[in-house]
Amino acid sequence: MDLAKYLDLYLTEGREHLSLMRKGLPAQGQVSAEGVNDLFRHAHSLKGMAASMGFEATTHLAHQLESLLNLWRNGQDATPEQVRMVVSAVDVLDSCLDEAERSSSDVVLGASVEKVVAALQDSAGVPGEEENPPALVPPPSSPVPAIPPEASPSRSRLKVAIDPAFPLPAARLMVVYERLRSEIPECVMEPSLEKVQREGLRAAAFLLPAEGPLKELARTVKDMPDVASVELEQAEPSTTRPGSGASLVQSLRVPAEDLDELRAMTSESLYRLNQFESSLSMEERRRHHFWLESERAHLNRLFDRVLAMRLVSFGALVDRLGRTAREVSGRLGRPVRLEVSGADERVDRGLLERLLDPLVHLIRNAVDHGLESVEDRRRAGKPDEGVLKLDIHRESEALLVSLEDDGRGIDAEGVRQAAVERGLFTPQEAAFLDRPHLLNLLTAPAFSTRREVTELSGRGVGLDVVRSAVESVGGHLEMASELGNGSRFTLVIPSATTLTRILVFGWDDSVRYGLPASQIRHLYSLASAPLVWSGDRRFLQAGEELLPVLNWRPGPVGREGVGLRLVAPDRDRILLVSKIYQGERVVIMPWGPPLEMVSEWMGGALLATGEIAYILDGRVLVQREGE
Amino acid sequence: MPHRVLVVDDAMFMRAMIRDILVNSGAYEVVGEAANGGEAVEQYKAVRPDLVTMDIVMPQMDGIEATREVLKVDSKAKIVMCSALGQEALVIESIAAGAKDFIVKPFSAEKVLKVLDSVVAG
Repeated sequence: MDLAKYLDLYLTEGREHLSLMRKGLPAQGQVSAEGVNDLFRHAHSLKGMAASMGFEATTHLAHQLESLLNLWRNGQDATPEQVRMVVSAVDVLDSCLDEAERSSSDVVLGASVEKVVAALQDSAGVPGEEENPPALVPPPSSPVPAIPPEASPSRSRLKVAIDPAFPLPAARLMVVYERLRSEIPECVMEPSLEKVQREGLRAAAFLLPAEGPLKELARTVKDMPDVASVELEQAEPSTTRPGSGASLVQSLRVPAEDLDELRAMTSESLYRLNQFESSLSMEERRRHHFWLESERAHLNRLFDRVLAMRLVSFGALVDRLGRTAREVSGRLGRPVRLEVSGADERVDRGLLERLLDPLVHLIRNAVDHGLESVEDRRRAGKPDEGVLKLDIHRESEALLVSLEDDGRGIDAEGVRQAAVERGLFTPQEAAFLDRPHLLNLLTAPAFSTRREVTELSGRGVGLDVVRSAVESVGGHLEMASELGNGSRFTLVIPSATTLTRILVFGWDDSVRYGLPASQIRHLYSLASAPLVWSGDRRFLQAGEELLPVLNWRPGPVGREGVGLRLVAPDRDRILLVSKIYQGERVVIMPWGPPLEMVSEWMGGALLATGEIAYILDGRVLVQREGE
Repeated sequence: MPHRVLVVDDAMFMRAMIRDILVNSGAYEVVGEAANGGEAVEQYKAVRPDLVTMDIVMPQMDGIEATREVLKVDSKAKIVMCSALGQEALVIESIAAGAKDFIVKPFSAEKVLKVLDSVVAG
């Protein structure tokens, strides 16, 4: 690689980092926690660039400087002497850059660099070797295999050694491990990754089942970067060890309640940390900023791992649903094909269990009532075989599970008529019902007599059951349909079991509200982004754009209010609020009845201040007001 | 057809280097660049690359959090971390967060391409 062409960029960016470092070092007094972070990053970036250019003396010095700054980051107080050392190190780095510009090398400054390095190490009090305190190596993301290797002689071992010149062997072994596990989930690493990292080992063995494409896997691993050697030890035939034959326990069974408790405990730790932080003065918060942030990050990771333990692939349901489809199809003599996408999506186990019934219902209904008979399909020019499409995927903070059929669709007009006939609406009121509302009516208990519903919509009973099941997990049901072409039912489930970043706001001082931050694109102060009328609708003028303002508002908004720009598929909308408080990461708990029936409310969340915030679902607010 | 890559690093210098390595190989093209985690997520949504190279230490949102956020947008995203020497713990954390592989500074074109080829194939 020809490095000369990068020299200019290196010098420009390098000098910028050094100049920012100088500005960040006070003549007197302490550096703030954020300031230390910035200093660290500058030194770190410079080190990376110098290493890429091959300037060894510069890299070495930047590395030492970085180590010292890291000590400050971890809470050690910066002594005046250390600050002086850092300033002089920055000066020497400057001359290294000058030298690089002059002669494209920094070798000649080696001696002065060594002197500063020695001084830095002395003033730090420790030889700065470890860059970051070794993070706890997280356990592998699926259950830990429990049987020690000696007890299972019928396993093959793949021994992998990493190139001795490669600086990060444990990380490389982890990549090999993940690769093997993607093909063979029950693969075990021996010794554990944590031990490999702790002891700086450069090789490990991977236990694989006796049968399988072992030679091929060995070849794949051999081809991976930085792997020096690979040795495959095939399994010996099972020796006589009474009782050990069939019981290869590959995962631990943990009662779901235990995991729930673990989750609750972790979540509580997070709240306690937030409470603690709230109790500190601004100055104390600033001083301990870095520690608080890293503790919070650590607890968040712990929380994520606990939740991940409850994750199960959606594919686990697919077999069951396929069977349901085949049963109904066989019983009625209607050929059906079930196409599934997103089976790899991983979902909380509890949620999955709650989705089973509604999905079974939807599939039964689709085959029984949604799809036409074979003769009717032929007459409509459709292939004999009906198609059901089941899809699951994530969109921002929600999980979307949808079932689509290519059957007869829903006669919305017929629903309108029936609603009037049944006395639910007067003809005038019914005229105002738009399509989504009409489809939604089918889920109302009033539409539950089998005969009538079948005539109208091709849907049997059970839709109200589906809707209440989805709403019990804090979600809602969306329906779309075209007469003659088919229908689609979508279960929209917000991520109520993970930490969601929200923005807290309100209309008066007594009640707090929230929205997931991912639903908010931007904030506008009404003082600078005026509201305008166009016809009978209000809009917010955001630069060149006119954004429709939602009518929904629990309280008045004055001139000092704020417009929240909500993300929408077609055109973003504005929600007007009086006051913005803070951003927080919270667990959103879905409401119990009767609020669970009102779908613009995702749930409630406990804020660090101890108050409850009512969390809205912006998507529903936007959808409700249509266009 | 060349594989489409999103390059994420707060140093213009590093982005230039990586870009050159990729372009000279003929097998990769750079379809977007980002200088911090937040931009990385936005860019990912906009260009939907085949592959992402992600620096670990960045201002505002670091590479590990950005990896998590990108995986939320696309659970199949292939992310390769760019680490400086001595950051093994962070690399391990990144892989635990879902990154597929990593490259170490200083870069050698050969090494970088070997890792990217391996991730594309895997």
